[in-house]
Amino acid sequence: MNDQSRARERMEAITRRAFVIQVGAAAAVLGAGAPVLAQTGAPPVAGTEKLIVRSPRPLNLEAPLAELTGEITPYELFYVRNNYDGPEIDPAQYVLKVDGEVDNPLTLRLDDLRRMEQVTQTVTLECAGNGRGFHSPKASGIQWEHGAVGNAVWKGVRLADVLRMARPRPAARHVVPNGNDAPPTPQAPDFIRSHPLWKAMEPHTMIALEMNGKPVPHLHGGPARLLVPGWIGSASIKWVTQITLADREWNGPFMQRSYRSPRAEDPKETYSLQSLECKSVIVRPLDGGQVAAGAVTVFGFAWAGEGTVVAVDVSTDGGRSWMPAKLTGEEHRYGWRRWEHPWEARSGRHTIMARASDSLGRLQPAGRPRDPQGYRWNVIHAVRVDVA
Amino acid sequence: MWRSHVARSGALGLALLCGLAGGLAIGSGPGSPGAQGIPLPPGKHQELVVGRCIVCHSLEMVAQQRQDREGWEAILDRMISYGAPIPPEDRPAILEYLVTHLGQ
Repeated sequence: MNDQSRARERMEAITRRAFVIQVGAAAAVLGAGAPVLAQTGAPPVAGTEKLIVRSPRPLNLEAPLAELTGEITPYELFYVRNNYDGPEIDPAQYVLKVDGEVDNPLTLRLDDLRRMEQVTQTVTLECAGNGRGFHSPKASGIQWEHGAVGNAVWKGVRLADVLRMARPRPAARHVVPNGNDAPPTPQAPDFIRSHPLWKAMEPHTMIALEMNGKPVPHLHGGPARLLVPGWIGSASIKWVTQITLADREWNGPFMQRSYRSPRAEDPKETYSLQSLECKSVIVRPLDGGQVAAGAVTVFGFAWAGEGTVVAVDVSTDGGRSWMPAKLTGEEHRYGWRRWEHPWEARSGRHTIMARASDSLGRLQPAGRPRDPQGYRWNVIHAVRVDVA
Repeated sequence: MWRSHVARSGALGLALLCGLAGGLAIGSGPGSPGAQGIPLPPGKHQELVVGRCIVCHSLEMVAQQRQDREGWEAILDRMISYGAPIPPEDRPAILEYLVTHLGQ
């Protein structure tokens, strides 16, 4: 058998195995109940039935915006974004290595991390591609709408405390975290993204061990995930098992090809995405819904990455006039802010819009220039409502 | 010989899937399975696309994309560089399916 034949045999075997996997998945769905298959065609994961399945493998789940009514997003409604899936880690076997440009390389178990000073903070995570489905022309990737965002209470250790224990050398300028995800082929690049040391040392950046009062679930990167508040979700590497300090940014495709947008001053050049945009979404009333005439509370959430939301303006006449909404929710440095606005609804069809502005002087825009990979969607959210 | 063998195993997988999905009410919205239980539009070379792509990811990843020829070529070549089991002689047929059924 020559090399070409052997390669073909191998591909054939892989293809056969993939079909077995697919059929196995279908069988699992049938065992768990037909409605899920009818809705999504995907194997369900316990407790996530309310989420929209964008892809079962790798698992990508989106929250229906209509369900995101609470200030804290529960596990059942928290979006899941995986570039690659990863195997579950036995907490007793979990090990985090800290190495590279450090004088004191570390090997830490979960108990070691638990014994360190714990911090708790409310942080909004949003996928860089949230809203990709609204871009025109279509950008490749998961076609998220509004729901690849969630706000949770995270508890764990400051990354800075871990890094100080490792004693970074002067050459250390970047932190390169790696997670325990599993690319499907040996040639597929590992999912690695790096951060400048200043952000890693910022006191909000943490290794999270708990989410909403429970150990971080596997779907959200447990038993330990990085949390880089205010930055695009992919910065917060899941299942983090290694943190390497380096003198330069990581040179892999998830830094140099993905998670980049055109520069405003020269769209031919791209830059690596860091902070989330300034953005608000309307949770009520529902787009395309009906409400009774009379007093209606328009509400939603706003967030701004490295900025702080300073105002949300609401229009109930399709953008002709704007009124400041009341910021009613708790204020957190990196958490979203609930807002609401009383509206006296009269019969007819209305377009309601919300527009956030932030401490960095950013205002939610009416449109977005082309972004080939479909990032940064923060166009003013508009919903159409019929008032009976 | 290799091609026909792969096509047969593909057909077997499809048949099994259809059998499993048979009798269920299957949704027809975006991203939901088509009439065959496969979330990709039926068409020439569909079985090749199914067989090659699900090795690494679910077919929903493919079905939700809308790309022109240039976009699909870039994606296909990236997938091949990442180790997708797509021999050079299959590339034109896969590309034809993607551009025809999942065009921009």
